[in-house]
Amino acid sequence: MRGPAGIAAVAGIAAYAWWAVGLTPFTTTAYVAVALPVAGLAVAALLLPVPSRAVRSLRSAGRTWYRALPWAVLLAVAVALEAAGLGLGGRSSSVPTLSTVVDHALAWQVVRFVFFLAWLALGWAPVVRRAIFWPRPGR
Amino acid sequence: MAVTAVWLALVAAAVCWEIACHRPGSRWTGLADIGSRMWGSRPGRLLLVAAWGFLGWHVFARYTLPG
Repeated sequence: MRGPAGIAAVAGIAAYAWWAVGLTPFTTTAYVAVALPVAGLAVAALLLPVPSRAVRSLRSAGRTWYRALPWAVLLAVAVALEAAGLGLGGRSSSVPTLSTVVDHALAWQVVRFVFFLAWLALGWAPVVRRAIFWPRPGR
Repeated sequence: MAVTAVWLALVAAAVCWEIACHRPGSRWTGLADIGSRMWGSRPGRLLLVAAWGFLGWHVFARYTLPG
């Protein structure tokens, strides 16, 4: 996606993100603003072809579970901290949950805008990568 | 304050470890690799979309400003 169409798409996404993070939380409009890109990604995830079993076996050759062990350790520490914070009511200042820590950063719309763009990029990366690197035949 | 620092350290550690996993010759699995593997099957994709959606819903539609 290059040229004027690409620029228009990026500008449109940025405008949508700015609008979405300016909404009051816990409102229907805020829920819809988040739900729309999620619904779009769910549709794309269902429509995009899935690699064959042979290709999947080839890609996973040589991978073992212990190579992901550091992530399990990080996740266990995060879950323990979160559980401790929730056990203290969820709004403790001495043992904050991750939400409480993030909420302080969300006070500024600019920060919420950057986080929203990063969240969109994280979710849509597989779809965009496929569109860029696997163009339709004849192009 | 100390626990906030621990949270920030955890996030920093996760970012640094992900970068380390992508270095040439690394034998460790990064989150992107785990995500790619899950994206290779429909149930995995839907699980990823659900987790991503929950993250967005919690952060952008249900945040509470301090004070």
